[in-house]
Amino acid sequence: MTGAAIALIVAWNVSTTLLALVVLIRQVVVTLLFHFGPRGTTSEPAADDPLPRVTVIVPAHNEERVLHGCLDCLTRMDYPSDRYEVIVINDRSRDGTGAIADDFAARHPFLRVIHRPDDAPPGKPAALLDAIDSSTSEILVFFDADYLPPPQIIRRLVAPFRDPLVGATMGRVVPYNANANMLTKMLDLERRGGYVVDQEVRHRMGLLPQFGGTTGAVRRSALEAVGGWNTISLAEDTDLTYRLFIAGMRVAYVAGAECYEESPETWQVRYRQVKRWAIGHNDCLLRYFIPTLRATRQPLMARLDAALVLLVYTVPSLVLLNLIIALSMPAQVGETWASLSILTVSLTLFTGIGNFAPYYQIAAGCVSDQQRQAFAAVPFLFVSSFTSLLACNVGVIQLLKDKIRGATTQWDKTQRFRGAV
Amino acid sequence: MLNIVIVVLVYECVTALLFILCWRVVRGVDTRLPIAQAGPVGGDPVSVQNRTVAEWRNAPQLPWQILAIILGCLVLGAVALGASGLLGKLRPALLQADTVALNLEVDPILLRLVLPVGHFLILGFLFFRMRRSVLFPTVLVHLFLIIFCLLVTLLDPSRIETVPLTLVPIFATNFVLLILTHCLLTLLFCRSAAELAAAVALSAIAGAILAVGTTVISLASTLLAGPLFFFQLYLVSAFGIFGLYFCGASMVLTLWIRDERGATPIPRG
Repeated sequence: MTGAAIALIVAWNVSTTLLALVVLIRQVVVTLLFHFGPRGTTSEPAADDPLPRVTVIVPAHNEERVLHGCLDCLTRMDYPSDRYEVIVINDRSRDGTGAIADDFAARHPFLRVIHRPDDAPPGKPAALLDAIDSSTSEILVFFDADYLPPPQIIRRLVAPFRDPLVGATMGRVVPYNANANMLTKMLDLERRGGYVVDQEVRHRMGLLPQFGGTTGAVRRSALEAVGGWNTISLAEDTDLTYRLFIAGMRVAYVAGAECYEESPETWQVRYRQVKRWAIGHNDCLLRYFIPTLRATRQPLMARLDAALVLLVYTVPSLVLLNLIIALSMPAQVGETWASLSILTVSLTLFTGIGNFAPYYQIAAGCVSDQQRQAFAAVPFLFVSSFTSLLACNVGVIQLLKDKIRGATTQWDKTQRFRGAV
Repeated sequence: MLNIVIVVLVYECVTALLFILCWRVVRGVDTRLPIAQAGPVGGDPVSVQNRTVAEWRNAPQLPWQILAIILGCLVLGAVALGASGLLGKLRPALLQADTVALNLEVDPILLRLVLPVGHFLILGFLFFRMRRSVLFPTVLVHLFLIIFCLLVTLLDPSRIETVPLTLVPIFATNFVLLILTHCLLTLLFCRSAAELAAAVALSAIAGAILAVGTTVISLASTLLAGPLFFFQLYLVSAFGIFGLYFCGASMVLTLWIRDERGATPIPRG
């Protein structure tokens, strides 16, 4: 290997190591800001606030195991029924999903069902677009079929729209099956870190919280202003988040809008979910990284943080690649003090980023939830981190392959685990 | 050399057993979170967003926490350095000892391959037995890494020869990260004088774990070289140092800490 090639590899290793370090440091800084930074104002609506008309959209593709629970919750909302409607999209289901939805529609006048034909374009984003097009409300609220929204959640999700700059809001997702096995315990921990701390700090500091596509609401006029719903992206929520941001709007995180969801209980389901997110998120990275940095209507810190967050599903690939390079490197450059240092840092980052990087935020999240004992499962965080590592890397490779071939990646539905119907 | 193989194997087995023990302790903890289900929306006096404020009101004063952190760092550093020194003195005796290898002649190359090939075989076995387990992706990634390391070594057999290494960066990196981890956990978790004292005690355990882990890395460096050594280094750092520290912290949390907000029944729809 020539000296130039070795220099190039060392330069790559050092720069990606630094990037991973920045991500690691961000986790610590966000955690410290959560505890010591300025507190945000709550988004509780005032009693005399005029309530906007709301359409709740529930996409359902073969969801007979879980749909009943979700619709049951949606019929008990603390929201005026003349300003509230629910649209269930029966997206080409082969099971009893359509019958369950029709049964609810027959009993509740504010609930209607759209049955999508077999030849309709596949995928959740396309199904959502059908519902959006058939509603007229200014505020659109989204729940996946496995979610169990509590009665006051709609009021809480719509409250931040008093601010005309708010284009979307996002609530907190809480797994109800956290005790099922080691994986669900880990996903519960990741949710605590991600929502309680990361999303909350992004909201408080005027950065960009993520609109997650479910347990969230979107202002129709804002959606139309940024070009409508993207039905091609596998991460249409991230896509919308960044389009709103680039257009100068805000996403508000509403910590009080908590909603139960079902976490994947097998690694295969989790793997497919993360792979889908990695493909969609990295696709957004390619499209929005530069526009995000150039979004001059937003503060500089918000732009930098939003750009860094876009890298979240790329870092695992960089870290793994870094480790492989580092493992191969000493033969070429000799086992010197410098190469050993680079390797040690790479190994530590692999350990840190992969296994324990989120623990700072998770710890703060558990403390904030007044459930410090939940943190006790943290040594097993490697279980979910290696699943994500694998899925992210395969996702990146799949995206590159699809980009080269010009193919469109297919939507992959998440399997449900709740008891039999 | 056989003694070193045995020491590393024992250390790995103890680490695995402690992980299993930790899981058995923590798996029964009910971590489901009761969400805000009812109550008037507009007049909710203690909103969910203010949980942290209520929590901090009961926390000990920051100066006490800082004192506990400083004490913890000092204890961690003193125990790590002291125990490392002590283990360092034992190391030559272990290397010289022939009690285990008495009258046993084994090819040094074979001995150097015992650990990596052993890891490969165990991971290969787990690969076929744990396809449906949540641990499968972990097994798969590690199997990939050990195969990669073995292939690199196979392509360049001279890399199996050990060379004297400075372990200062390894110790320093682990030391700094462990200090950072411990400080943050103390700051976030300790809510009473007893818990602050427990954090200082935990720092002593952390120091001992760091010293033992670094000694094992040092021993492994006399046996393994190149990528095979770095794979071993990764295993010890990730699971044998940080993993064990978190296992210790977890067991302390599970056994002694009582939360204010217990789990409540979750609606199943």
